[in-house]
Amino acid sequence: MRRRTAVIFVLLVLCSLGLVGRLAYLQIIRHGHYSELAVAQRMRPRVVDPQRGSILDRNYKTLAISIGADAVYAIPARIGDLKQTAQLLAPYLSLTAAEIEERLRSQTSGSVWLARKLTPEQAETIRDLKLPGIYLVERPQRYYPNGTLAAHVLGITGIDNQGLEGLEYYYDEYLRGTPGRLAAEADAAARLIPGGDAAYQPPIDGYDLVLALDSVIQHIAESEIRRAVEDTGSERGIVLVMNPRTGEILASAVYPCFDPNNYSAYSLETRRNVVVTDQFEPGSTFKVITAGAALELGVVAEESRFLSGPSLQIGGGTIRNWDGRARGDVTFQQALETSDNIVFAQVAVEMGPERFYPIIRAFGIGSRLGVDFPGEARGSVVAPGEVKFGEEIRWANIGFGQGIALTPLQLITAVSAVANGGVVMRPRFVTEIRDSQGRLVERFEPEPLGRALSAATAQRLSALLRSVVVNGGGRQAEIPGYFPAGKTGTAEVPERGRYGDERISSFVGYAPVDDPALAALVILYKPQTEVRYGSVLAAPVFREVMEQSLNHLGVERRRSK
Amino acid sequence: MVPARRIPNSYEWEWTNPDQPQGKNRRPQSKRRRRRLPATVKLCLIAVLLVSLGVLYISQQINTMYLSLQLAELQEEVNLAKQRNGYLRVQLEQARSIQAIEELARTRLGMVDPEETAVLVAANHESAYSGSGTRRGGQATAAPSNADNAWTMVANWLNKLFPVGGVEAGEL
Repeated sequence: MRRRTAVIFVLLVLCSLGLVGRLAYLQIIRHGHYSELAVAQRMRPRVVDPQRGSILDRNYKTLAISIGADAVYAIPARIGDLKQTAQLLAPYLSLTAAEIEERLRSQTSGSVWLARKLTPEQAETIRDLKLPGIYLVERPQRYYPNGTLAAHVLGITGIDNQGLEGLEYYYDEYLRGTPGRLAAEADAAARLIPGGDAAYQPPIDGYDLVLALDSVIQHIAESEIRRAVEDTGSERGIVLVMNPRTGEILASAVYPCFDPNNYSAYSLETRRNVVVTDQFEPGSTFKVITAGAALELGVVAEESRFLSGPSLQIGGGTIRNWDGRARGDVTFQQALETSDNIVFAQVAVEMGPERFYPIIRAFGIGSRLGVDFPGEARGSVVAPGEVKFGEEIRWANIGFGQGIALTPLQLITAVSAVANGGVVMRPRFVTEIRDSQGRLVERFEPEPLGRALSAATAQRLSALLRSVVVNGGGRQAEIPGYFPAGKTGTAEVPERGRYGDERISSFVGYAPVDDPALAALVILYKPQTEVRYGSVLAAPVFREVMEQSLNHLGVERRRSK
Repeated sequence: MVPARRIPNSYEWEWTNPDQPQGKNRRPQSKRRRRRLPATVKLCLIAVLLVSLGVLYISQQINTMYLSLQLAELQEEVNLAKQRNGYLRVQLEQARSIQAIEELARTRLGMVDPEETAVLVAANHESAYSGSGTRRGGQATAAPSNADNAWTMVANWLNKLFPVGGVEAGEL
């Protein structure tokens, strides 16, 4: 009996020792591990979204802003009657009951977004409905209060508030800020326990961008190009306005436009900022560069005389005048005024690719200008000797703007260089970066890229371009008191390796000619009117945009130049 | 002869400090004995004290909890107010936008662009035509309805020759 008792006692002691040992192992040796698990179980770390920086125009008017707004999502597995839930929600969302039900049925597991950017009233009503499986969560949402204004420049942001296109993408690193963290005690239903332990690392809000864009000039440009595109049945229209002294882009309008508040309703094609990403054959507007190069090289003077016929055989090809007319003996100035292809082909051939090409490149054509915008195209210009057969006819064509491609931004930058005494400035969309308190973080000063023409040549060329508006094809661009200078263009559109029937009408210029405040470019793609010349379609748009913009800037009209 | 001194019992023994002067300066012994609290009472008092402290602590905890809940509710209200404020800010920016101002100028004040001509069609011949539109640069942007009616065409032609009801910009 005693022996049996002793055995049981020993067994009990051993069991107790085992339990004590296990307890010591868990409590002492594995203490750290289990402490971490316990903390992780009750402390729910959350990412605290920073406020994305705003985008402001040059007068600090808000173009894009982020605010916290409720979004509604559903966990279909927790919803009893999908149909009834959809019907109850439908009056408060911009979706029909059928659409909501379809969304709910499409996701059998996990969650599904129903709507974002709810108004406070919508959110309150949905909250009061207390529908099972329907939840509201506050998310930072991007708003563009001006709707379509400057949409192609601003770009868009995704559902996680990240930049996807345009300046939103290019400056995303500055705009997005740094997320914060909140680790707080929560109950089993993930609700924070009031008074519980909490560790908070606040987020750092993103920086604000201050653009060179003037929202009033942008509005003028957008209104005018919209009207022109609708009146002419054009496929697309562009207006660019630049400060030729600084390279600042004051307006960049593309029509058809889109609403970045609802960007998914538009195609990628519509959203692309063709001003920067697409290149086109400029046609006669390129004669500004040919004329500048010829004057700079001393190949021609204003009064140099040329013989212009209806066509010209050169380098094994034939060049025709745009109107098929023979003008006979003309001066270089007259050739520019009448946009004579024959004369400009001769001038280009006379300069030769070795001398002409470096000046084209000096204008910034054939390489990226380094504008602060994603997806900039280089433009396309052949180097001397690159064309093995028919180089002479190729360069003759380049003389009047065919066989070369450039972006609208490159064209206005080049013409702005003429207005700026021959100095090419880097185009810029953003001028300042400020923190959320409005303190200056970085300022982008005007940056010269190089000199394309001497100041004297630029001045002579300005006088020639002024004569185009006074005596030549640019008469419809004339603005009393502002003395604009410019050049018209009507380019043929190459399709499947040859020029088709479609046209690109354009006008590029600046004003006032002796003290340029603004340069502007107008392009209408494939107008469907009977007359499709740049002098008829684009020049009046230039006049409207330039006149209103100069008025807005307070540039005074003068009686004489 | 020295008077005999009573030898105290051991339990009555009184210790005297030899350094202290004897005789007159000696403090008279208090006849009242200090009353001691019974241990039970003491324990009760301690228990009451502990219970009071406990109640105080618990009530403070409850109060803290209650205030924390209130704080959380107020924080929620602040968040909602911030959200509403942000939304109002967006609405304000929308109302300040040039498009909104232009829309108001056109719809409420009846203003038009300087080069536009607003045309109001006289409504006394409803059967003939009705409608309104604007003209800019000589191109009409809106046409009268019921244009298929021959009478309408005649009326339009007459209206072009002798404009009735046409209002130039700035007159509206």
